Amino acid sequence: MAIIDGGLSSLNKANVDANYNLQVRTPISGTQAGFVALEAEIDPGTYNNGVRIVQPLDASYDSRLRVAVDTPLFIDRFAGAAQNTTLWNYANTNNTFAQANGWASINATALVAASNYGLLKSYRSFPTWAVFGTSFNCWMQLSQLATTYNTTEWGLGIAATTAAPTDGVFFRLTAAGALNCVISSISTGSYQETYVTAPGGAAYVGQNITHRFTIKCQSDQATFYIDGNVVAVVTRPAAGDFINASSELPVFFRTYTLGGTAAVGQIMRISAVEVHMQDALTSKPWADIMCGMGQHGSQGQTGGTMGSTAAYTNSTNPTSAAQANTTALITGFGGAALTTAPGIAGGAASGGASTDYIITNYANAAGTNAIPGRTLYIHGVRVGCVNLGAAVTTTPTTFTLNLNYGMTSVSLATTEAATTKKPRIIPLGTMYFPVASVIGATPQNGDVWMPFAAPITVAPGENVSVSFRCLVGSATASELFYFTVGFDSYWE
Amino acid sequence: MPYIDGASGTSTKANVDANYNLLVNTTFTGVQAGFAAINVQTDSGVYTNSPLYRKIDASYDERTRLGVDTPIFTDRLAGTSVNTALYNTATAAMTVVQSGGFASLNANLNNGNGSYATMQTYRTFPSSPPFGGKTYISAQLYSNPFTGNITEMGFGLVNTNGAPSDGVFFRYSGTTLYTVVNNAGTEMISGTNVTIPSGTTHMYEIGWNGNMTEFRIDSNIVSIMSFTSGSSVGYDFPTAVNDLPIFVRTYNNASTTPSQSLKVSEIAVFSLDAAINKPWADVLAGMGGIASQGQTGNPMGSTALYTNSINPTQTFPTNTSAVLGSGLGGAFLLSGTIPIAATDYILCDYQVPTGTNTVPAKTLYIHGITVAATNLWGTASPQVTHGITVAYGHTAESLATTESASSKAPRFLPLGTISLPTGSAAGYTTSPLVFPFVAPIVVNPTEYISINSRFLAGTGLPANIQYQIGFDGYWE
Repeated sequence: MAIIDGGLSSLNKANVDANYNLQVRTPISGTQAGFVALEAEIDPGTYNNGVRIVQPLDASYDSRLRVAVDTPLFIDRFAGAAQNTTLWNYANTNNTFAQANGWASINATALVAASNYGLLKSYRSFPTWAVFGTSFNCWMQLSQLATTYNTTEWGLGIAATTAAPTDGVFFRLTAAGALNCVISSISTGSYQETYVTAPGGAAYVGQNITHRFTIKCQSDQATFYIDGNVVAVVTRPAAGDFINASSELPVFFRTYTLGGTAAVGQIMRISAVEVHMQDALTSKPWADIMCGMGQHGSQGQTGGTMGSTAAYTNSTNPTSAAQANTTALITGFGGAALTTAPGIAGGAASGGASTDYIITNYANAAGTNAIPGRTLYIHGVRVGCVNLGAAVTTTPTTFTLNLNYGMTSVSLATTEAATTKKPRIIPLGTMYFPVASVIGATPQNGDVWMPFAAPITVAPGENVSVSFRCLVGSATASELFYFTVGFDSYWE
Repeated sequence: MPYIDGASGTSTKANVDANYNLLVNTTFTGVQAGFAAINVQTDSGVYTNSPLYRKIDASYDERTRLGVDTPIFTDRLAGTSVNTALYNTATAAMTVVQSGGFASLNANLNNGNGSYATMQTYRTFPSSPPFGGKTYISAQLYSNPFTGNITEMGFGLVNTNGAPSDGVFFRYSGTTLYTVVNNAGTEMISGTNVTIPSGTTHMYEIGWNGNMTEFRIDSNIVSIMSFTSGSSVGYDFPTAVNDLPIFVRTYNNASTTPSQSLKVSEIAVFSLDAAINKPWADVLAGMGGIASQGQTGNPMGSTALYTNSINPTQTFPTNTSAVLGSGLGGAFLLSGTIPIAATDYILCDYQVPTGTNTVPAKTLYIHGITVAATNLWGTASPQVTHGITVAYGHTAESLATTESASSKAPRFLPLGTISLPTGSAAGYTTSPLVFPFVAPIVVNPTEYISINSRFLAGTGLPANIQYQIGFDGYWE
């Protein structure tokens, strides 16, 4: 009977360390090295009836280790005190929506009446394409384990009111406390569900405990996770076409009461949602990723004012205002602005002052614990101008235009200090109105357009503005100019 | 048999755990570390009865060589009609019907001799060495394979029910599944012992690089066909040309009983290994996802409002509805008197289709807009100046749509100005207003995008103006 009984530092014997591990060493000659095949443990099976899931790694035909990269499609946290209506649609009967302290709450007041529902769904849908996967993630808690006549669902799917979903891949907590992991199909001609009940059910979800729920979708199976642990793997029916019907699904969260009054009101509280495209190298540009999440610079962001960031109101002309170096004609991220009479004195060539006048200014909101302090990336700016005053028969009008950014207050005279920043100025170009330009005339040399391969970035608490200086012109009372400013930009 | 019998907790002896595993540990001293070569099991041998391992390689400069996959094509056969932007179908006596997530070839279960149904992609896919590629076709057979029917799927050049003239593909012939490499009509065929039950969906995979073709079903290898330079098969690359379409077809070469139908639910093609850095817009456009054409489940053809040899309807636009017509760009004709009011008028309007379980709810990414106006009034045209905006995101057609928990107001972005000067002749056209976006405008399902004009000059004057509006965009 061979016994390896060398202790620590026993000569000529295999040694054992203080933790009773035999000390071993693979060959130091590379040519003698044997193979080890790589495998990844997807899940140890702790919460999935002890079913350990492993996946061998693969190599391509040319011996390259095949690797997977994920591309984010959607990331949102429910900061602030208002629904981000750019991203989310909320429909309900009685069950109210509330947002506070980082939580979006569905059925915030815990109503119990029959036929009540609250449904939060994303405006955009997300691809569930062939071969490479889609991953849905949310951080959420429920106020109740389960309650009579109540159904609570979350994941990817198409649902309305209290009716059964017509498509989707999602979790469902039933009134009886079962946590079902559901996939769907219409391959047989009508909507059908297939589900696996997760071990532990509602008790695993618990009350008022935040969990990360994940669903990884592939063509032939969906894997459901809670806090990184697999709780169910639901396989496409053998004759089915896919794990769901449509190749594009929105995110949805819903709680509803049907058939009777619930014993207690169920409240869904969601703190974050993420959706990722898995595996494939998409090379999706960052600007496209950000804009796909609703973060185009032209619309307000979570915690801010919803709608356009531009100062542009449907069918309403801007009010003319006195142009100034320290205040803007309009407050907005671009928009339409109107100068005021008396006209704009030209610069030295026309005997006037060389003042830079702010057309439009936008203050990027400083971050707080309720307003995410986002950074604005500007990849282009376009400025148009129209003469709305009487034709000037004696003098042409020439404007130079600048983009100003980084200053910590609106004024272009803001100075640089330890706690303040003065504007960084980029000349955009020049506009020219010849003598006798009529009402409605646009610059003879067209709008000014400047694209930026290297984007201008505006940090929270900083301003960005577009200004003009009149190089040549006449201070005629009838002078009136209508500016339009548009940006190519995104929020990060 | 020698064995090591150290129990758990026996000091100075190698221990075994409760599962009888010897506890071992590698050295903590880096310079004493030995080597282990890395292998991966690429196939467990379900069909070949022999697992296949591949080694992991390193570059000359000791970097681990990695392979990343880039999607070239991916499509799910959703909806109730074939996406004619992507697929060409040819039939004789058999029909092709799409529903329930499948395109069914020979949906009518024709069993006559000579009948066929073929569906192939319009686009072709490169198979250039040294980088590999892989295609996936998810499909099921209505009947188990039988004599008198041939069913094929893969890459290749096929026509009606004639013999393929090039390609690599699976072939059910008689009761056997074959894998086929066809080089300019010369076929190398390998029979398999694989039995795939009818009525169940399986993923048929064909991978290739410069000198081999690998056939898998549900990730399990069924056949590998190799080619090397100077090989006895007479050619050193599987196919004669390196750009081939994907095809699926079924045909009868005798009157049959029962009938065969091939149901296809998804098709995908990936480029393997190389970081080709193909821009995402190019990837999607390569899949037929250019914004200018309708997508799966929606009307096929142009999304623009532009009908061959037909002028647009002329009227005066409004703020609340797209009376000039709906389309993602196109030609729009204004006729009427320029008003005094500071109204934004919808020139062009498009609603991104709402998703259902048969219409994939795609998202529209706009990377550029161009607008030009042409005076059709005559030489006495007034000065007409437009402030052009794009509005997007609104959940109803009207630009007056308000923001609420379940509706969205339009997001306005000024694009610039265009004008028709006084005295411009009939036919005078403005320089095109071009606004490219690095940061794309994204329009979600059910939302609208519109191009609008606010008239800054020309009040009270009659006008007749045609707008040419184009979009640079893609569907995701």
